[in-house]
Amino acid sequence: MVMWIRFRWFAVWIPLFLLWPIVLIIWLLLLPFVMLSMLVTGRIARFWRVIRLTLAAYEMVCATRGLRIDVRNDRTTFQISLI
Amino acid sequence: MTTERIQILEMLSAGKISVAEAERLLQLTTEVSGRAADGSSLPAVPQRVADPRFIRIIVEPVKGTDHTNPLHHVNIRVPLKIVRAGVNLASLIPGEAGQVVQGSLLKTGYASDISKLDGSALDELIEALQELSIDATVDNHTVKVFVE
Repeated sequence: MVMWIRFRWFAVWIPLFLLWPIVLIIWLLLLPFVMLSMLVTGRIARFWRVIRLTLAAYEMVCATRGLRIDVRNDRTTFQISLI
Repeated sequence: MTTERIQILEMLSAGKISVAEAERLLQLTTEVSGRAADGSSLPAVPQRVADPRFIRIIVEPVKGTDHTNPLHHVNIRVPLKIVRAGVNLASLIPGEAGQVVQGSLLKTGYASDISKLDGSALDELIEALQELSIDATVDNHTVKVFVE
């Protein structure tokens, strides 16, 4: 998935597919600490909720594929598209 | 029948294109002829879409009118998958955080309870969206909202 952001004078191209491996590594590194902290505070039942919430957030990001917002007037141009 | 439509049907009968491709091409020719008929560059608003994938919001200034205010061009396409994914995400929001979200929605005038929106209600909502079609003129701008 690639994100394009265009303003009047410049455009930004963000390759989101390159970010996913980095996000996954960070998530896997943080996961033991989250689990440990929930174990210590006695809220281990919420751990699965955190996992499901993370997966739902990922699903939400994936669902944005095809989103396109294009707003122009005499003074401003803004465009964002996810392809 | 227009020349384009005849060409598409001939290509279909010759086996050069599939039925799905022919249907898509015929739909496009209908949209183009619809635009030509009303003299606008906006896409024609479909009456009913069997399997909607996107919500489109298009705002364009009306041609031939005297505009004193700034002209706005808006073209928004929102995938309907976001609605389903959003409901899944909302169902996992913890109680306290959910109340904060509900309070914020109430402030913006959305009075419904999102926690009560389940899978079946969502299916009904998406089915109702199949007939969504708004075509209005507001402040010398044509506003079209539809699904495609």
